[in-house]
Amino acid sequence: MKKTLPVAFGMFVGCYMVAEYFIPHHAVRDLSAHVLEWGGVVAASAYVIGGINLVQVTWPKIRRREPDWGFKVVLLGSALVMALVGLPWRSLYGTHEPGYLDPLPGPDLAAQKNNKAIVFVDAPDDVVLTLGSITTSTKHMLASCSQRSPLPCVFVDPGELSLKAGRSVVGYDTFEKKVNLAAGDMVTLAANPGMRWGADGRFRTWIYDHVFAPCNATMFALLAFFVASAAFRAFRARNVEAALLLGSAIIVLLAQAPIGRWLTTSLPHLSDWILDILSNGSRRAIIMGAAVGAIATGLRVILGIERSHLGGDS
Amino acid sequence: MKRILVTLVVLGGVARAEEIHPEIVEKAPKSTQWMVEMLFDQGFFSGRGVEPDGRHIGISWTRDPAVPTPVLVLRSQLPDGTDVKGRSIRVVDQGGTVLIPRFLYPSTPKVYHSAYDPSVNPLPVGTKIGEWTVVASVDGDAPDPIVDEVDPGTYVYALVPAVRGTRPDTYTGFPGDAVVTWSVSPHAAWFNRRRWFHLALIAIIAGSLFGFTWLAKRKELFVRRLAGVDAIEDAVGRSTEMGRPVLYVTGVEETQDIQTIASLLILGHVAKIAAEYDTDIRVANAFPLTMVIAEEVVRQGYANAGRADAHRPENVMFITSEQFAFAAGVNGMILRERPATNIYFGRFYAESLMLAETGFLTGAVQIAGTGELTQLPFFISACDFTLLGEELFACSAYLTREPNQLALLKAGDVMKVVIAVLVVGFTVCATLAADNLYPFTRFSIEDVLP
Repeated sequence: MKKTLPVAFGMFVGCYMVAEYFIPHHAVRDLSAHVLEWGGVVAASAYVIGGINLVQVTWPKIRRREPDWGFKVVLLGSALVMALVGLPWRSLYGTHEPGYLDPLPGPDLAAQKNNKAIVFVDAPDDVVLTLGSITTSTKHMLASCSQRSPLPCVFVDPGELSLKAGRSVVGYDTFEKKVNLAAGDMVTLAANPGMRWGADGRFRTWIYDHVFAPCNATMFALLAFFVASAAFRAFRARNVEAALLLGSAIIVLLAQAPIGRWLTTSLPHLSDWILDILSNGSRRAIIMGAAVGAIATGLRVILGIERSHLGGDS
Repeated sequence: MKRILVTLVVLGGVARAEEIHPEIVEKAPKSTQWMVEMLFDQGFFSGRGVEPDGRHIGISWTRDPAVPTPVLVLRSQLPDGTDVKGRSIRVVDQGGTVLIPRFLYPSTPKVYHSAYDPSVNPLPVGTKIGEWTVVASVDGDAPDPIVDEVDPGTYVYALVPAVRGTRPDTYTGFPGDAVVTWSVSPHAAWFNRRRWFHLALIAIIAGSLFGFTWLAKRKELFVRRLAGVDAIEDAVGRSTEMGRPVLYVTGVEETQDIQTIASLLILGHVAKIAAEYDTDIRVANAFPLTMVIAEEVVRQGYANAGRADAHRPENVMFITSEQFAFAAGVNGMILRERPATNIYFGRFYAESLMLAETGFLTGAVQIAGTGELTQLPFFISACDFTLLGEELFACSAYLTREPNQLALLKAGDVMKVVIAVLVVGFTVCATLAADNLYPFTRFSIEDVLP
């Protein structure tokens, strides 16, 4: 029962997913979408187990002061910090609107005469404002447009106006609204976007951009040296096959460099021929073989022929 | 073929003119005849790369006499099963340019609604006005159908001749006669005929499987030697002699990836061998779900070897889902613990060479296997043994030597032969067609294969 039930369930779901590929009916697709959502939920919940595993593996090494245990402290500390800054703390104490619009009564006659509307802005200096096609901040606005308000302001054309207020750095709220203004209309845009917490919050984004991304780029950059080292070993002509590989590599490398064209104009054509005919043919053969192998593996699991993952050799 | 051909002869415009300005009747242009075609059939959708899933309706029309005026196509949903006849419709008042409420809200003609001025309010595709949704705006007729994506239900379409404004998606007038189509519902298919060849391949492999299973019970099937797989046991034995662990990496893709599945299937056998040799096996996973499954697989591997007590769950690790952080973590393990054997089975990307080169520096025996074509050269240059593409998928069956699994390997070989025959056949056909040799010029490969 311990093996039969999972195999039967796996067969049922597997056969359904295969059948789904051939059935375009929307009812089947909707059901599949639900099943895939469940899969997503299971995968997401596995991250909790992953976190527990991380502690289980790391903590004993710290406790026993195994070699390089300090790195494990950094690992656990970093994981803890990212978990903390990734939580939506603000939802605990509620959120406030990042801004609002406050229309002022009566038209401004001077602005009306000039066929303009006025937007007053009540926002800190570091708030970036987009008023239609104008991007500005309070520092760069007019000090006064009307006696009706002492706030910094800007004249805009009448009609529909898109207003947007946000900070110059990511991880803060954004206020967005559209408003229809007639000539002489006045409106106050008050905005003070707050800092977000969570996956797109300021702290997490900053750590990701300023700590993780550079480390990631460093690792990727190391690849160049690994490639050089591997190429040096691979291109030694120890036998006929290796010599052919070396010859092909020299032709393709030279064809990519200016010196190749300088030596002979037929080198790029030879390189293209190697890549398009010899290399491409072999690549396709491997791809087709792998595709057939993938189908066979899928069938083995779906039909319950392969059960080694459930505790049996077959 | 589920098609509906609707011919709408519009006379409404002439009738109105008679009532208001009788003298115009003689000068009135000939009424427009709309030939509207609604399409639901599978061939039509599949030919355009659209799934016949019951969420699409195709609509095309021509007008007689031909008019180059743009046509605004609008859609309205009706209660399911509603049967409405096609008819002409007034969308503006006589001489007006504003869409009238009676057109916009046909189901509530006695309730007050405001009119809609599309000369100042743009009507891009997707806009809702009243009970209608803008589907398309076409210059002239649409003999090539427009494909509209809808939820299952019943719909009518309005085809409204319009004059474009200066601003995008604005309209300054609606001359000529507009029509509303018959009510239509999209039809879903239960089999995607474009995928018949995929089904045929699965049927061939399934048929071959049964044939070879029958054969495998009667005689031993030959499977060519896979040096990389044979080397696994030797490599684990070497780890035992050196007193160092075996490192197994399951790739950097999620569990549902077929290469990760293949890797997990092989892991059970490797764990069993490691248990028999009393050697630690460390399994590095890039995803927690893979880690959970790998832990179970290793546990079973130890149990199969009769050494369940020797299994240490903490040896199966979740490192991280981030590609290069994972590479850094595994490289750290390789340099600190210096495993005598590194096995990389699964899907790998740029980190493949980082792992394999670091392993090479420590002098470990390295066995890799992946179906990721771009990474194969890196593994070949840095590892002692590499399983190329299909060998990764054959590895588990090769290790068990179980007749049913070997039969499936043979079935895969049959499919490869079928594919090879097709490739050669189609190459010959294409070559003959290129030489304008009849009847090959009459067919396109798209007619036969999806």
